[in-house]
Amino acid sequence: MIDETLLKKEARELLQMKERVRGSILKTHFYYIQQMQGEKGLDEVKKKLKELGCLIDLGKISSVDWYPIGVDPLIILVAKELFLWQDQEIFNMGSSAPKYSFTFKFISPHYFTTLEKLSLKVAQKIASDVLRKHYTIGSIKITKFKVNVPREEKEGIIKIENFKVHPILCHFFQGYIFRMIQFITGEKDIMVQETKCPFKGDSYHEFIIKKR
Amino acid sequence: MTEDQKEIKKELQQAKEDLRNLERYVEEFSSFLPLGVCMVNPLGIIIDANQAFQDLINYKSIEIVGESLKDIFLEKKEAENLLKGVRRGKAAKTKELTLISGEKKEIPVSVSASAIKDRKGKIIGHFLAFFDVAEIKKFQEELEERVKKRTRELEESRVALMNMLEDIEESRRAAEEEKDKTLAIITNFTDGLLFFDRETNLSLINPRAEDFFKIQSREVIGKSVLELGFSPNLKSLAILLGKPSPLKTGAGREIKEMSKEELLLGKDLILEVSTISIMGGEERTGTLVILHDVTREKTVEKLKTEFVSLSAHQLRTPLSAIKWTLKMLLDGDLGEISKEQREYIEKTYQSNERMIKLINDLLDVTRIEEGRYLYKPALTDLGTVVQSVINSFKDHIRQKGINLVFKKPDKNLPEVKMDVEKMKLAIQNILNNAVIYTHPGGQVTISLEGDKNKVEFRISDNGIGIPQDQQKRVFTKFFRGVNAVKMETGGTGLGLYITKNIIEAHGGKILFKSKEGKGSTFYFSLPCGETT
Repeated sequence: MIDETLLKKEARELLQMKERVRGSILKTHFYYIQQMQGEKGLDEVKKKLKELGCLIDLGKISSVDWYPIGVDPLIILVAKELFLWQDQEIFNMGSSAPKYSFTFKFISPHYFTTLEKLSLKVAQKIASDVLRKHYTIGSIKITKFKVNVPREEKEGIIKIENFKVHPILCHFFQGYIFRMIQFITGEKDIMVQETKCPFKGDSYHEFIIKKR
Repeated sequence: MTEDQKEIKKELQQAKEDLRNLERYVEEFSSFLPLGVCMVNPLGIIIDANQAFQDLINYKSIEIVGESLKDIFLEKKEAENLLKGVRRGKAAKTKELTLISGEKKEIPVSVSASAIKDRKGKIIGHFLAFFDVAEIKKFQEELEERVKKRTRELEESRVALMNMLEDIEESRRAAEEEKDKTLAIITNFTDGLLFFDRETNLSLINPRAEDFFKIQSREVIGKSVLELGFSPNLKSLAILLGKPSPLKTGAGREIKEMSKEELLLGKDLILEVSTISIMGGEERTGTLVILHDVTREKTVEKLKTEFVSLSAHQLRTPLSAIKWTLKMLLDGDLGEISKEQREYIEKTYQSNERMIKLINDLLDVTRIEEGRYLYKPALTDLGTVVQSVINSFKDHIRQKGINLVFKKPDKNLPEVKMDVEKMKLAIQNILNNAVIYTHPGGQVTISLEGDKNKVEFRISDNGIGIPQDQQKRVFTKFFRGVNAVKMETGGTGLGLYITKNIIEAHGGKILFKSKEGKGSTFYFSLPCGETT
């Protein structure tokens, strides 16, 4: 059952946030919901969002426009509540996002020119670009990035600072990072764990990438 | 806000609008495109797939994006090589590969790959287009099968045709050889040969015939009998061969049927001309004319006849002297003779008579063969002639005890134009044979029949008959049946030969039927009136 009161409270708080998110992120959410729950499920989500006070025209979201950042976690929250999704589903949503993100498709190919000499510096640049193209807040730091090593030794640590929107996005980012790593390294047999989170008292998000 | 800031904001909005339009365009284009297209990054990971590709492979975008390209192909190595090939070259590469669909179904596709490059020309990914060739493949396979089947049929037909051609070639060679042989035979044939086609145009003449007429084949080939009549050398042959034309101007266009007709060429050359109709199935294809050189035979025959004639004349004079001397002895003009002497002289007289008969017959034969057997035709009643001959045989018939019956017709027969003496001789020869070769007490029957056109004489006996195997030679010179020789040694074997010539010289025909031991019937017919 949906805890309407809590959801409304969260929605209210989220929709008041001033920062922005790129429409392409919102569109990937809708696309995932539509793929998983069909048009009917998507309509339910849109209807609920409207009920919760989301005033943007959800049918005309543009990939290149900026929208209130709270809409991003709110869509996920509504879907989670409506369809009783678990964390894994949110992870999947995140890992699917790069697959059909117009922004990602539009910008990501240019990263691949440097794939053969992928270094920490390059990886840092790619990660920063992706964040900057989708959100108006936060910054990324990659503190460890071992990719040109034997498979067993491949490892990375990504930190996202100044990004405290909603904890549901942590699962989404886990999936997103997983897919990004796969896209730029070809490695699928990895796992992404969040080891630090601002909602758990840390000052930043920290994601560790390891061989599964 | 400064003017610059306003300008930048305006441009930014314009850029956003352009991007929105671009996104919409890309989405619509991608959805509309019936060709399956996907984009892969340089690692070979699928990063986008249009609707047509999703439909083709039966995976949703969400399922297929992020997967390694090679995993969706059956031929993984070749798929990698395809991308490598594109990376090396500039142009798009196309290869036929097999996709593995969501239901693990194999889909034959034609894959075209091209490189996506950044502004600096560096490859940042690939576009791959997939064309479903399953139907084409199926059609192609069916077509190939049909082509193979048709090829097999054609091959079989070719073999059959080749066999037929070989058979035809074999037959042609055989026919050619046969033709060569036939031509060689015709060319070297000792008789002259001419072949007229069904239009009676000369189509072949052999060298022997050319020699006979002293002509060249090229001068006469293709000419009709009528046209040949205008050639001085061939005029006589054309007249002989050609049926008289209605205008009586010479040879007509048709060729007469003939057997061993004589043709005199110049003073020395005598040819025997025969014609044979050549049939192709039931259709007459032409006429073969055979020219046999009988000059030598005719010359020898003539010399022989002259010799016989001369000999006979020389023999007849002393034989006549002997005859009259013996007659005088028998009549007692030279004094009395004893009974025994009479018997000897009578035998000598009879032998002398037979000799005279033989000489006379020989002279008749030589006259016939020399063409000097002159006739003095006059309209005469055949019955009178027959009766006259019977009368001359009366004593002989009575002595032998033969019963001779002469059946005369009920009404008078028309007269026949004949040489009476020669006709008597002909009838004598037949009647003589009937009397001689009929046993004493036997039966001989003569009858006459006729109408306004012809008169028929018939004589039947119940005598010794003629052996079947000798009947063909009955009318040849010096023929005597083996049974006849045993019965009567006096015959000359010339009687029937002379008779036949006499009857035919009168335009008549003589025939017979006989059975050994049962008797014979001879009959001849003569045309009536002035037609002889």
